[in-house]
Amino acid sequence: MNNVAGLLGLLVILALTILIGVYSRKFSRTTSDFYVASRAARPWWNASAIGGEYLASASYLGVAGLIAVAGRNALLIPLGYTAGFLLLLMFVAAPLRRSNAYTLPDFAQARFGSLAVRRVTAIVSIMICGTYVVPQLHGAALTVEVAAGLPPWTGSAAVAAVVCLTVVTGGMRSITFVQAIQFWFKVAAMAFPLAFMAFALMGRENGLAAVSMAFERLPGDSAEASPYRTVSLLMALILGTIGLPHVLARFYTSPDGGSARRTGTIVPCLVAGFYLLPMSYGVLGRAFMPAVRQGEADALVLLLPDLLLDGVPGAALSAVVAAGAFSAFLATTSGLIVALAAVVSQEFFHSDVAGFQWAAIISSASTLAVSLFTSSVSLVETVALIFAFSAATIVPMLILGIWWPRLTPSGAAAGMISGGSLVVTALVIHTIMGSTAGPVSDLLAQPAAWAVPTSFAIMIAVSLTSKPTNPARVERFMRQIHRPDFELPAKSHRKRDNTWT
Amino acid sequence: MDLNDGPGGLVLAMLGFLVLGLAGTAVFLLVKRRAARHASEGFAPPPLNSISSLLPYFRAAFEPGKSDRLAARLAGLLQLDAVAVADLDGIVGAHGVGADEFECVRAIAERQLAIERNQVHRHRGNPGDGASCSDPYCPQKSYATIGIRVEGRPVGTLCALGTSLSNNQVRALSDMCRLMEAQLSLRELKHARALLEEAEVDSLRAQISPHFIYNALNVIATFIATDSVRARKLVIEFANFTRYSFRKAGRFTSLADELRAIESYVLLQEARYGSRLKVTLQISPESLSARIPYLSLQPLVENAIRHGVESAEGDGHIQIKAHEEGALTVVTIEDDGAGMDPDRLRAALAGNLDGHHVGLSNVDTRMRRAFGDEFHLIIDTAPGEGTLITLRIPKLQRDLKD
Repeated sequence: MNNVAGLLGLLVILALTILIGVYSRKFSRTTSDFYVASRAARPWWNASAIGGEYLASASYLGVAGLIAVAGRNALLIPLGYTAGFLLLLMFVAAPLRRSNAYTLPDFAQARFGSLAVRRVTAIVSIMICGTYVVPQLHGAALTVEVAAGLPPWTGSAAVAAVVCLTVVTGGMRSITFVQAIQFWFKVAAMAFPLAFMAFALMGRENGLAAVSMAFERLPGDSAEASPYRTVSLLMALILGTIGLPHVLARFYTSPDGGSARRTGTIVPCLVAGFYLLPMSYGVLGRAFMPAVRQGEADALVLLLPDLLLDGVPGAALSAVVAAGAFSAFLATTSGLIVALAAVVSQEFFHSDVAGFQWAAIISSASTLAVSLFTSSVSLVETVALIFAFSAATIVPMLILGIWWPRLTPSGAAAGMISGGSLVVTALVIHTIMGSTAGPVSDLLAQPAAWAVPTSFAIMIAVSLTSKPTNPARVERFMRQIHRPDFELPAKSHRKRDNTWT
Repeated sequence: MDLNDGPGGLVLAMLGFLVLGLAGTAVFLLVKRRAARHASEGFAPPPLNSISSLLPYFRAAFEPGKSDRLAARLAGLLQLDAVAVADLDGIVGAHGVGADEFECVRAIAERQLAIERNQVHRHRGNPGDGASCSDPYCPQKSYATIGIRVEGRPVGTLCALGTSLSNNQVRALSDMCRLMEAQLSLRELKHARALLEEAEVDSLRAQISPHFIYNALNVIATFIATDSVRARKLVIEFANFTRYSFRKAGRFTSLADELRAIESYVLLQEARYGSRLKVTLQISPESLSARIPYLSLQPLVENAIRHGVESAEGDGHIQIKAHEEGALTVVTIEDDGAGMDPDRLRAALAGNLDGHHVGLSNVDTRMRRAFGDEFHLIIDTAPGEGTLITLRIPKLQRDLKD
């Protein structure tokens, strides 16, 4: 019964995604009015679309699970995911939009005028996007297993195939409208079951009391938690958000720097609002599923409605949550595959439609292969490592590149390469050594706190010792990205009357 | 002993000649060795790599700030005490020229300019003797000035001063001048190419203006009496369109801005053709921020209106669409008018047929230049079948210079 409802929910979402993919062209407005046609996407829509693309498996499933397992410390994680957007808004959004760069390699080339830095940035972007798809597919595998009782690989394969299909046939792509709807669907799919659960708890004896006691019944910290790990994890999440290629590509839709900034202002509000939901699930999970262990924790959100509500409503609401999760995987994977295929086709194929399609196929196939041969212990942990990698590579390049004219191509390349290798080396050693308590293990498990400053320092040091190349070009670029937008005089005659058209 | 007879006199004479010959050879060898030593002490031509590092300085020879550095590099490379670069107005950059010598150098440079001949002037001893310098106590012992000419007209001079200038130094300096002339010509060529690109946009503007302005003003005139409100609006549209199409800023514009200009254009054309002209748009919001070459769509819309309405019976329907295809923005402009003969069109695009396809080939050329050869126009047409023009604009802009 439960499995049937879950399967139904997942199939409906897959079918809807394919349908939207097929009919997506209809979403462009057909009109004979130029004023309507040349109206850009509103910042609200754009912000919702960013939320749709950003909030992925780790946010939808992982956060709640981690709160249930690790207690209070984990409450800081949504803060990290959200605060990153504030930095993005303050330091990156508007200048990046004014640089007219569509991908990060484009920005690198425009800023540094160096093919070598462009290639390094491209490879780093490919690594970030590629590894970020993997936890999405893991999330899909978990969801299929828990909600529909099917073998896990079917979930990964279904998401990869549907995304590949819609991207290749000209479907979902980066259509603002579709991604924005996905965001609000995710909100609804978590909020409705939560509301029902809240009503049920209010009716139950001791229901609300149990919730209020959630953090007192169990020791708050697991063995591995330490202040250093929490700080380093937060740093990775906050800084890493700035360097996510698929989020940055969305800002290209904004017509100018000011509009990009307005969009950037709305995003943290939407994202913060959303995180109240998985946090509530986490608290409920801690109150009512105290035996949950790491490794199973990611399934908490999917199990909770069935646990707290009996019979048909429980099964139905579980299915709704599972459908929301699937929509999250589909939206994020689609955004990532588009960003990935754009970079891959640009660097290794012709940047035409066929090259883009081949790149999309190769990207989804290879990430699917990787996800089938790996398994995820905790979605939040996996994603945090990707964020740490982004924070140690792309982020110093972006922030110094935008705000420090003296940053030289060799400095940027040296910082990105050394920052990336530090993070990867730390993780490899940590994996070989195995996870233990103690400062060395802490440093290796969460490398962001030392790798990011090192990367910044190397960029600055190498830049100061190397000769600036073509300072006039850099100065021109700086003027372009920091100049406020000009408002054209308002066109009063655009108020339409239809008497003569 | 009688010198006049016997072999004794002959021997003596031969000895005398021998001594003279030996002495002559010795003197010759001595002089030759001294000359050789002098030459080897003086100067060896600079290696190629240090010359090539000078090329960027040559291109900026007369820019303030840069010419000082050029003079310094030249002085170092050619082992000269002082080097000065002068353009037509006077000295712009100098190295090693003290304040008291400056007047002297200026006088030398001006004298060289006055000669207007492309040759080396070399003076030994006090230049004051040659009446070239007003200062009779000029400390520089010798100097050389070489005129710099680009495309036959003098643009400046290069002056070298030294306590003793060797022939080799002067020759090297003269070679440097030739190199500098080549670099300066190259710069002029680049400038000329930029001017040509601007001229191509200008030619588009010129093509828009006469007929369109005439027709637009005529149509506005007819409305002034019958519908003055509409006439006023049309005048504003006309002003908007001309402001856009005659603006001077930038080679690129956003799709949104180009569409706004096309709106004004279409409104004016609608006023002329009335209900015969119908324009439909289908633009995805994501594509609005695409950067396209300035005035790349308007000529195509103009073309579509001409073929869709002017040369066909009945209503003309024009569709403008824009959407995303991966990393491309694809814009299509379609009319259901008379269409064109593909062979004639091909000839027109190749530039063999002048006439009213100038707009098409102009847009094609500018697209290729802006984004690369693979981003040419795609035109689907046949006589009587209408015309579909597709532009593909990469969102990834590799070499977009604006």
